[in-house]
Amino acid sequence: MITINGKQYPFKAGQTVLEAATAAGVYIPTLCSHPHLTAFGACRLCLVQIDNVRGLPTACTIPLTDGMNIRTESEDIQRLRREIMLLMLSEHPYSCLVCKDKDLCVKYNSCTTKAGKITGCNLCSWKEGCEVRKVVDYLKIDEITYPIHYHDYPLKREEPFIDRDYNLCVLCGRCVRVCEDIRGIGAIAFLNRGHKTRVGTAFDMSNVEAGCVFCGACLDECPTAALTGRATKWLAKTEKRTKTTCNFCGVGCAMVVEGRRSTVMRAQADLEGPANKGQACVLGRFCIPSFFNAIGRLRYPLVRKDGVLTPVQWEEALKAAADGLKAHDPGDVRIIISPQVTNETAYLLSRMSREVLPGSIMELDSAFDTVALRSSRELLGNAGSSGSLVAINNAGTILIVGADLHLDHSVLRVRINAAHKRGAKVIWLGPMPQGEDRLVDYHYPGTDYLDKLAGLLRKMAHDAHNFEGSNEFLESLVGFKDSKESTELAKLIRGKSLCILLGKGVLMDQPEAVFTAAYNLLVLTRSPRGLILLLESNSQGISDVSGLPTAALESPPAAKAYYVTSGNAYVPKEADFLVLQDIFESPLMERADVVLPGTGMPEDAGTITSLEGRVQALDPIALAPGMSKQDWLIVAKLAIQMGGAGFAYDTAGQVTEEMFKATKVKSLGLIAKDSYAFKLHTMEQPQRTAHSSPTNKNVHGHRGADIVYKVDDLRRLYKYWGVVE
Amino acid sequence: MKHAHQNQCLDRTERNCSEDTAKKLSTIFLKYRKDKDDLLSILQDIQDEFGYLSEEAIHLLSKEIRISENEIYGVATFYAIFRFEKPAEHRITVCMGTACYVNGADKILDEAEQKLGIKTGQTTEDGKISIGHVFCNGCCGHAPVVVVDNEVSGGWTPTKLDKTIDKLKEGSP
Amino acid sequence: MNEAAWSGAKETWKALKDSERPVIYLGVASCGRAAGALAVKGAIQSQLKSRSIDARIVDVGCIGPCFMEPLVYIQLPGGPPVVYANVTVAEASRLVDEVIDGGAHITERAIGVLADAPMWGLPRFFDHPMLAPQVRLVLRNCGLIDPTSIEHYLAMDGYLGLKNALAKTPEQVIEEVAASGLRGRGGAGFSTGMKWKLCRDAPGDVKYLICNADEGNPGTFVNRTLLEGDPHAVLEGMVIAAYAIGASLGFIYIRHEYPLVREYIHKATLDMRRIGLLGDNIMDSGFDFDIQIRTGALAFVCGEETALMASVMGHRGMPKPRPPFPATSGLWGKPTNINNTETMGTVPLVLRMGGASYAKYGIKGSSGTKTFSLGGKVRNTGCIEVPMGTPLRNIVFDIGGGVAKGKSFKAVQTGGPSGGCVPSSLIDTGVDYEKLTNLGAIMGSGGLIVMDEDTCMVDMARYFLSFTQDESCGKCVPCRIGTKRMLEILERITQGEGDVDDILRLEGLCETINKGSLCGLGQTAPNPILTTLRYFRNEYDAHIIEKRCPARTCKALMRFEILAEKCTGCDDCRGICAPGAISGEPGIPHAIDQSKCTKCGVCQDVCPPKNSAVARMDNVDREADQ
Repeated sequence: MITINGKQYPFKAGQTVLEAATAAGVYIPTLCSHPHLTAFGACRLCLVQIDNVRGLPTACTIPLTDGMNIRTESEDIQRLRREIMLLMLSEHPYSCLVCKDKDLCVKYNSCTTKAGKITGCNLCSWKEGCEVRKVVDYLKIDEITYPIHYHDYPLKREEPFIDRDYNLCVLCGRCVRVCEDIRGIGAIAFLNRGHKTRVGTAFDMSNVEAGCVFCGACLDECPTAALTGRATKWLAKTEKRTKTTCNFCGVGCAMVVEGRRSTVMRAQADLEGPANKGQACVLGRFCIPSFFNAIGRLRYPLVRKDGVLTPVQWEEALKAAADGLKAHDPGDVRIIISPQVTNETAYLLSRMSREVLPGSIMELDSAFDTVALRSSRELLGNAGSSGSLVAINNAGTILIVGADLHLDHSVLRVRINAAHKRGAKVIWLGPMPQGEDRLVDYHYPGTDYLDKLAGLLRKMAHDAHNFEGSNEFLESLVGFKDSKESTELAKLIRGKSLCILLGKGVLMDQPEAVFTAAYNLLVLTRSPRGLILLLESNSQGISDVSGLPTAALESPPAAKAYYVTSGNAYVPKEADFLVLQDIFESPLMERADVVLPGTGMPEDAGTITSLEGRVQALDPIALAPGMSKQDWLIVAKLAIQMGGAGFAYDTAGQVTEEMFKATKVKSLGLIAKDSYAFKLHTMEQPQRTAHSSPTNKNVHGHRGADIVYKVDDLRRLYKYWGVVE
Repeated sequence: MKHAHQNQCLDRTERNCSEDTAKKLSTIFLKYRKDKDDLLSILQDIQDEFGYLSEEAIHLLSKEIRISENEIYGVATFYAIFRFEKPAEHRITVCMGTACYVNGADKILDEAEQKLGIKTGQTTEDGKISIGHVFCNGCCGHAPVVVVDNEVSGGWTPTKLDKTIDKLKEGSP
Repeated sequence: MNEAAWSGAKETWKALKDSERPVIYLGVASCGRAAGALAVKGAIQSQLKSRSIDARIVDVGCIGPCFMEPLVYIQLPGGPPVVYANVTVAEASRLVDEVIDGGAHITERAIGVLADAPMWGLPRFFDHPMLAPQVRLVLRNCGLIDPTSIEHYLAMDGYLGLKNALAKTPEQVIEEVAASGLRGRGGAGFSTGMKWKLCRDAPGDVKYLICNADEGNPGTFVNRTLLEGDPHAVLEGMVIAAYAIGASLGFIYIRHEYPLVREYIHKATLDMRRIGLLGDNIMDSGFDFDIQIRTGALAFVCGEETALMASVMGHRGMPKPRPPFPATSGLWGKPTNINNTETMGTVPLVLRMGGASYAKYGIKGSSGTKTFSLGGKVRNTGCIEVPMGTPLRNIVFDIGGGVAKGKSFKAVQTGGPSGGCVPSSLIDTGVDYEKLTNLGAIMGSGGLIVMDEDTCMVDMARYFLSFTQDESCGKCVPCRIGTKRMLEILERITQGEGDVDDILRLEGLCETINKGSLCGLGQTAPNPILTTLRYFRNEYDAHIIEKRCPARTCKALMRFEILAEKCTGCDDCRGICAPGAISGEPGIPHAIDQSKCTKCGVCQDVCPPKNSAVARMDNVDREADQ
């Protein structure tokens, strides 16, 4: 037990005074500490008195010992804190902080005029979140005796997404630490020393040049408005906030989104998010409002009349769609599901396919995800990753194959970085973005994944004898060659628990064979939970609720009528009827007979499942624009229109409930992984045929649109990276 | 392949770094393990070799020991010895240690600043002479001490410095 | 490494002393070089060559009295070395001609003999007033042996302390050091034995040792003197310390401005490895240890233990809050012991003479001797060593020879920017950790700067603050911003723009910075202000209320005047005045145009002492005049 201000509290071993006090609900002011960062002890505001401890130690750094008697608010401490705060404020525009009308100003002057330099809170966009204000209020500072020392650092407003005004910086170092320690990027650093200390980049180059990936972690750490999100800073005060899940990729980052009226305005990583633990990437952090509020959203149901898509009422559109689909033999109907739709939508689509259009074929609109899920089902008996993301943290060696973690799934870098710091080895096969070499112990840039992995399996052959199927397995390796890379790889992998991240780059090689090789590696290293498939948004959930992808067909029959939920889907020119359900205008619209406006993530309700099999809820913060409707509802209404029974639902929750009963998705949270028997699979012999690059030409295809072309700053960044023209 | 963007990535070094520089740097790197623990020592070696830390050198070093340029620059700017621009031909460093200060080092520094029309830490426009100050050379017995082009000597007066600067300007130290 | 090494070394030493050839010992430590020792050496060498004289030159470190440098001691066959001080290049050839070639010493030019008794009418050099009161334990070899020769060190019973230590258990070594009462010589004065024990007892297989040779205090050069005079003493101490705490690797972190130290230590470690004093199985004891050299890069804060460790690991030298203490979690998270250079240099002595014998030096609570670098406005400048408890008066007036140029003594500053000024009224205080701390000053690493009537104490406080402000790491708010605010106030006061509340503001800031700062640098940054406020409050008041600088050094508050009654019109000043502020014709008293004068003081420097016609005046006098 410990005593804080005369009251006794229990504590956990290893906790600091600050952690225990926070847990006990005792406020100790601090600016430089953050639950996810290691203690720094720089702001000196969390000074406390502890019996038998010399001086005034900082609560954020002092580990608790049993029987500690801590006082957090004595007159001496408060006076010292006040003096320290006054010093800090002497270099931070403070006039509004001690204004007698401060409270009125917050009440009546919440949104601000646009200003260049921020010389007081009245011109600051971050009044509500400002931690400096909070501390000033707590310490009841109403007079500041120092003249303001304004550093007059130039404002940095040329970079994508983030505006920087270091005149407001209090040098808490949280941005530097999160960038270096948590993200493993080091795009900013403390420069100079003493009074000249500031946060910046080498030779004051731009942040883009300095290696920033614009994950926004620094921005979320900043206690002041030194760092602000440009796109949202001058918007009016938000009215509501809720927790939802980002579906830009399959990681399943929990987000806190804020909005006003019908619009989403800001998204931030949820500190408690199980997959992302407070971290996000450039897409989730900055692009959610910009993308979904971008121009080109579909607002009205459209039906082609006399060759022209014409806005109509929903009834007419649904009738036209139903009639068109019904006019074809169900066997000629193809339903293409976008990875971005919710579990509920996918569930209803699969019911529609089975019950209303029996014999119709469903497809998942993602080449890699289709192969990955299909292969894993064949190898593991379970479509999807074999383990949860914790596998990355716990791995002895992490093998990244054909992935680009700068563009996709980049939040996983946080876990890789943590593992790497702990001593795990990281191997990267395939092209690697610049700057990643900090994280990587061995890099092989070629895309001949199969050769390298099979060579590695050969090196590890004598580990194989303990496993079923070893003879056939070893024989099947004969056709592969050794290489010096295989030797290096074997050194790093052998005897360690392995985690393999497979990304869509493997489509460049023979994907199925690569999957088999990866699986065999897991067997040989006895790492059953080590396979992580870098799937798109909700492919895992769609697979779980709809049974997609179906077994591979040699040559799938061409269909005549198409019902697609993504303007990106491949629809042959010969198709004679096309229903397009999407959220943005897309090239496929030119050929669509009926266009049904659906909803995006901020408007959606329901659930999605991340690549580790975590089922998470979507909570709408925004209203669907125009007449658009949530996708599950459109599917349900269309099914009814086509004569389907049991498609009448009032809310998405009813669909969820039914889905939980009818499919393997039973509840929110991580779906338990089935165990599987270790067995070596024979390797396909290498084929020397050229493989086509992925058909999807988009960088970040989201249904029919590409995020890059909807968000200017993202395009600027990717242009610098050479990803887009 | 759409996400193999590193090939098109702007690589400042490969554009700017002369072969000679790269060669000298790799000789320095050879002396060390590829380890960030040696950062300070490597930076000192680079400065000894080139006279300052250039952008290219830091970029190559960041690739070598796998920490970001920003972090390296952050470390380098923390320590007062590192320069980031080509040093002047002649460097006058006035010791401002306590013993030198009480013996009038500030007057000597003032004299240098006045005479050359620049402030401490700056270089004359022709790049010939720079002045700086340091807190103690450890030769306090001979205060005030001035370092001219790495040579430490004691017993300076403003007058003596005046004459030295004239000589340096003429080209003979 | 065996007994033969010592006996061989002693023979070498004897051969040097009994040399048939003349031997010239040259003090070529950095301080000697600053005084021109290398030029003297060059002159001697060329003169020897031109005269084809076979003589041996031995480079030695500094014996201590810097004001005598360049120091040359010449040993003629059969005689002891005779010391010549302040040798100029011109005199060097004369020494070669008359002494070495002529075979007889110039007794009127020499100042002493390095012998046990006076000789040839010359006193013992160690009877010189600056040297006689000293007790040289740590510095015993400095200036007498060749620092680059391990044999010289062995001949002086070097590494016997290590031999003794290895014969004991590590715990016994720690007990011995504890019994000596040795306390850290870096400033804080923590018990060395206790410190070692904490590190020894800390759990962990891998432990590290750091010797802090980053002597950053301005005005201090005791560590340099030791390292340039007797590097092996420090290295021996490191090996003993490593054995005691169980460290396998040690770092010596050398100040960037000490290239000579780096060179000597590098050579010394090579020699040590060669004869088995470093590396595996040291002295066949089964103990393995090695030393790596790290060079500082100019950051005073790296004297702070946690900042030093950050720097050794290649990071920015920013301190970390403690706990965890280095003894449990230091370099790379392993238990680490950090000692100052002088502490390390003392350890071999303790092990050689025994802790109890060492404890007899000094006083109770502060045992042994302490080295100081004596500088500032004192006649005899240099590095000295006295027993703890020696009164400051003896140091300043007996050893230091009093204030130079006939001025009156005002104060002595100890402990550098973390220390304070001791006024003349307290000059009888003995130097020990507690007494100095009570005065508001600190022992520090050994800087003693003497100040005379011409030193403005407010300006000194401003000077130290500008130093700490420059050297603050910038991490914590009180130090980064607080010292800046204090400096601004002090600058205002010395500009004559202070107001009466400034003293209160300063006192408030002092408390905030002292209590609130993260590390020792910040916590002690107010000391120079606190002590000057305590002992020289009148000077602050004079600046603030009367707008007057009593020492007449603060430029804004003083002016130079040429006293017409003393000026002979020699024209020396007019020619040299850079801004051309002096007017007058030769032979007629000159005058200074105050509107042009930049107060550089060059006119006063060049005014012939017999005239002393340039005087410093209070600016207020002039205002009153008008």
